[in-house]
Amino acid sequence: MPWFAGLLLLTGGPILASLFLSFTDFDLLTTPSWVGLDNYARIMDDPHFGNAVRITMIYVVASVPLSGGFALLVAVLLNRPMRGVGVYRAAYYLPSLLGGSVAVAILWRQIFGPDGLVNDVLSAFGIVGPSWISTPEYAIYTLVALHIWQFGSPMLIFLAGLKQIPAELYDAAAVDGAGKVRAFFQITLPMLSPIIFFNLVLQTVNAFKAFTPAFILSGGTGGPADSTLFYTLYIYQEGFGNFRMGYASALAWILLLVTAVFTALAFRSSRYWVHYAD
Amino acid sequence: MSDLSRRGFLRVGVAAAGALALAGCAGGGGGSGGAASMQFAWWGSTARHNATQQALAAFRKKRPGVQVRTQFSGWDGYWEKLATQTAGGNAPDVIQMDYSYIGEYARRGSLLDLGPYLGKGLDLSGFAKDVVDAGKIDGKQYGVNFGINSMALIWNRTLAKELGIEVPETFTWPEFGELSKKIAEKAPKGVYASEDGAQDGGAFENWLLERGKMFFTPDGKLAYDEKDLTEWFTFWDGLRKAGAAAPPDVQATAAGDVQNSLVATRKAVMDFAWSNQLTAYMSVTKDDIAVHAFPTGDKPGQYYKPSMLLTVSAATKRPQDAVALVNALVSDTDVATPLGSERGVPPSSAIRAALEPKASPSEKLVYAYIESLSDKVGPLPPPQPLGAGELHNKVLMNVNQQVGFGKLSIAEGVSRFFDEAHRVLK
Repeated sequence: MPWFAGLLLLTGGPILASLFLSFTDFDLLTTPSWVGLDNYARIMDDPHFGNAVRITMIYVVASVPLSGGFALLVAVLLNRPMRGVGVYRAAYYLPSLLGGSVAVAILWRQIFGPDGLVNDVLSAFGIVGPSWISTPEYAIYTLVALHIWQFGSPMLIFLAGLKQIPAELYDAAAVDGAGKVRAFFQITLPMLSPIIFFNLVLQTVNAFKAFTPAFILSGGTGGPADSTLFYTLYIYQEGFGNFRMGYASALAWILLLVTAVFTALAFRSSRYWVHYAD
Repeated sequence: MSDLSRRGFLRVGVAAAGALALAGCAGGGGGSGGAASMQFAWWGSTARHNATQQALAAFRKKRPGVQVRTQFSGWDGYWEKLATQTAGGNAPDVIQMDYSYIGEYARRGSLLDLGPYLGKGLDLSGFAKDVVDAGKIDGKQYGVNFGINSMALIWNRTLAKELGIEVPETFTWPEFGELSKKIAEKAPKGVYASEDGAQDGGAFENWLLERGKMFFTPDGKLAYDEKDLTEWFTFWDGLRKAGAAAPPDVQATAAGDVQNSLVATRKAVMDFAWSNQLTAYMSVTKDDIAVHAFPTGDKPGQYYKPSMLLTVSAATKRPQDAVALVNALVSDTDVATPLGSERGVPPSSAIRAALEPKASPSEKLVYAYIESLSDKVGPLPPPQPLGAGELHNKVLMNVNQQVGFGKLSIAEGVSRFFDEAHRVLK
């Protein structure tokens, strides 16, 4: 089982190492020294911690439902028989292939910059737009927009799910006089609920882990005024920028626990709204 | 140089692309470099990358057996990468180091003491004594001065002329404020007299030194208090409110390299910078760019600083070759000539004498500027304690942004800064 050895060495090893380091004072350059729970105590009175949690929660809460809803909408539209549907599906999937990349984040910086595309369009309507990425109130939402734009992967999964719904159900509903909207809420959504659940969990975990867009958009600072300081970016700054790898490891373990709690909550709630057709 | 031909432009582009490809190889190469291979890392702009590749070509000719792999980037990301490499035991053999970080690395045992090599492979005889001493931490020669610079107010002379402004020979900080407000009255919307200097560590240090204070005492404690920082923030808050200093959302667009700076993008007449950066400024704009001393005060606020230092990793497997490269970069005319004064005025008098006649107009300005300060500079402040770089680069900027955007009052910002100082300094 070579893959298992790989998992153990390349993933398990670092995970255990970071657990150990989270109980040490480790500055990257000298030997770690054991400090017990000091790092976890330090988190309690760190003003950046609360801010990073707040920013990350805004990102998760805003981007997961919006991108999921958008992906579902597009999937439903692309599920209808029409000419050249394959081309459309490929075209809509494209941003997901590029989305996590550095190049797109740089492109985003141009689009939402003071002289960017968005403000060019606004100025055509006589509106003078702010510099979206360098104003704390808006910067985080440009990142949310970037996330929504990458709806391709959940869209594909939704599409596969839509194909699984037996056509007889819709035929029967039509015979009974149900309209399109009624059919969507009474048939499509319940039949799709396992897929929705799957996407919800996956997208939530991904949103908690988001790093690249904030790093590129803010030049690694999480600025302006900490408004894009994602939790992962803060971990990176503390560990690699400020020589506090022990503290960064403790922060990383908190993230793991929080993500696990959210996933557990999603699983717990699933019995009330996810319907398995078996 | 103003109308660079298309071919010349292409050539620079191709050279830069080639250099990037080289860097890529160096990054992933690992131990593939053969027997006599070592790595040299630096940060800088494209102009510096090209000049350094030329210097290394000259070095390779002199020591054909030694292969030098290169690794370079902008300032952003350089320190994270260096820390990671050092932790992993893969530190570059020769490391371009900043004065605010040399203490962190030297005191944690990551740098080689170059003292034993002095006169035996490392020839610093052309350096003035204080220029040599600028590379010492706790009495040991961990670094070699790689260029002399000083704080400098970079200003856009073309823009000033368009606005009909005369910049006087010298001015104090209050006079700087008055001048900025006068410029603001004449400037169109979206153009400011000055960048927001409140977040600039160099400007703040200069202001402190002129009042007889400084960043740190020799034993590494903060040497200024809440009152000083309150006054500093209040001064700049007034300038921002008068439209004389750039507001925070405009200032935030200036992050990163010189090409984003407000002087280069014509959003401000004056930037707080370092004298050696004049070359980089001139390379990114067609405007006429000039250097001016910082505002003056009762005591000298400026000093001659090592713009950067050359250091050798304590983990290097080829200390002789690494020292030879350091030595060639600072004291071998053939190798040092392509570098010019882009990293600051060369510390060796012999190199200076060789370069000055061939200096470009921007380099001549830098030489003249450094020379003109000779009777106005104070002593170099002592090397800084652990966490100093973080405090006066990142924390100061962050707190100033919080104040600028109105998230914290000045009083709250000041107390946040000192809380953070307590957390950050060791």
